[in-house]
Amino acid sequence: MTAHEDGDLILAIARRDAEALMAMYDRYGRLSFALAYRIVGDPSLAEEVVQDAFLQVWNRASTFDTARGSNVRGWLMTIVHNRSIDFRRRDLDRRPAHVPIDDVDDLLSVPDVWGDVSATLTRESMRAAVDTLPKDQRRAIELAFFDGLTHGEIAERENAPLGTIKGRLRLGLKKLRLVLTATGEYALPPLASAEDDHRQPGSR
Amino acid sequence: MHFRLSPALRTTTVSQDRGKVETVEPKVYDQRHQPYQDLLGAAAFGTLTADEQRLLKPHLDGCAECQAELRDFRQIASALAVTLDEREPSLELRDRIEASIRQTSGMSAPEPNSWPPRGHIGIPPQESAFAPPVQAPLPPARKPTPLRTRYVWATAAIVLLAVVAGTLAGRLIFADDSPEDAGESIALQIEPPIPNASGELTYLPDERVFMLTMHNMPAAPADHVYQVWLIDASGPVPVGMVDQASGQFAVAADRSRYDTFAITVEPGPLGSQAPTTTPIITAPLEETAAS
Repeated sequence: MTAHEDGDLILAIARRDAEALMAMYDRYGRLSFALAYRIVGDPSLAEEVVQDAFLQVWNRASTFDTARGSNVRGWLMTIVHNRSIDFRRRDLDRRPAHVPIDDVDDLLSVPDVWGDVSATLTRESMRAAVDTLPKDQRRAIELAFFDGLTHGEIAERENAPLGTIKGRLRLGLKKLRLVLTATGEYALPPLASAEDDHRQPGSR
Repeated sequence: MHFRLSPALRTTTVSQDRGKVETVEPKVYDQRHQPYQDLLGAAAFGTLTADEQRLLKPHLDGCAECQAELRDFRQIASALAVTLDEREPSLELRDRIEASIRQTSGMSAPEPNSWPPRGHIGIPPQESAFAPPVQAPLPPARKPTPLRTRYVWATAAIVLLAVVAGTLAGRLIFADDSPEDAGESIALQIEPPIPNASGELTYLPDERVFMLTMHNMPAAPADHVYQVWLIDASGPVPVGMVDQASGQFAVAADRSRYDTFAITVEPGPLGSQAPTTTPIITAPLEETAAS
């Protein structure tokens, strides 16, 4: 299984090759279901999420620019994640607080680039990277990613200042990026260091 | 360039090699940049509040650095999914997905030699393309399936799918020839009436997909969209926008979970998190003998 094969798959899907989509399902359906189930906590609802995610892949494959990366898995997981969070937040409360990331993408015109994280990144490598995080950063990231909690909700749950939670999320992501870069799982040059972070002491 | 740098901090220097006067921007940053950076983590996780999103948008529109960081963060966030152990969905899910994409695109059966080569990705040739709906119960929540157990599951699935393969071929031919018979037609109510406008809403129970096609719908008002909602006892769920060019929309959802299908006019391009206008099109989803 290689990134090249994923790239071929997405190109075939863009040509409306249904078997290519099913090949992608056979490759990533179990991981998609695991992610959706982890977030929504209901197998039937998780399957609904996964089905809709693959329908989106089918309809949006032509927008995936393979010249800008071949991490199809990452793209798919983002679709599954967004849909799962939509369901979870709907079930948890009715507050219209959540903005799906796809919508943010549209608003912000951030081009899709799905090639910087290795498409063959393994579970063990990613878990090892997560294990390098300080406990509070890891916890904040888990609550945001798997539970779909906002800054404020995490702050309330962790009994920590809002600015602290914002910092934990961002610094945790930056550290993951650095670790993955060091292990060859991430392709771009490092971001500016935490010290060169545009922050001023006590500004939160 | 964005506005992070205070003009007072710009420094004029003379380039040594070209002798031209240039303005150099030192690495000193305006603290006004910080509030936006603070939001990038939640943006990557898709958990910005509406207020935070409104705050971030105008800044990101003009800040290449924050856009780049958000791209990075999104990719890192997506990789977190890899930390999970894979789980087996029901056998039925694969069939629903395959049937739904064929139904929504009006496709016919694939050529025998189309992608991928049979068995290429671990699917036995006899089950790879047209497995029929298999009424397997949804798996209960459980710990990750051990490899040996997975093998037994896969073997059982292969046998089951092979047995029903013949039935499947007939079903697909039927579906391709008579697509109107493949789903449940659901009556749309357009209120107030829109001259000449009409539409068809079809639910595919096996695939659990809603398909909508609207005809002669006027374009939504400037900067607005037709947003689709599925409504259950707890309220409306936003499920997407009608494609204005084609008038079409499709979403995978279980009809039994919802009471009403509805369309409202909402600010574009994002739509709303909750309806801000009265629905112009509704369809009760309660199943009747006629549907």
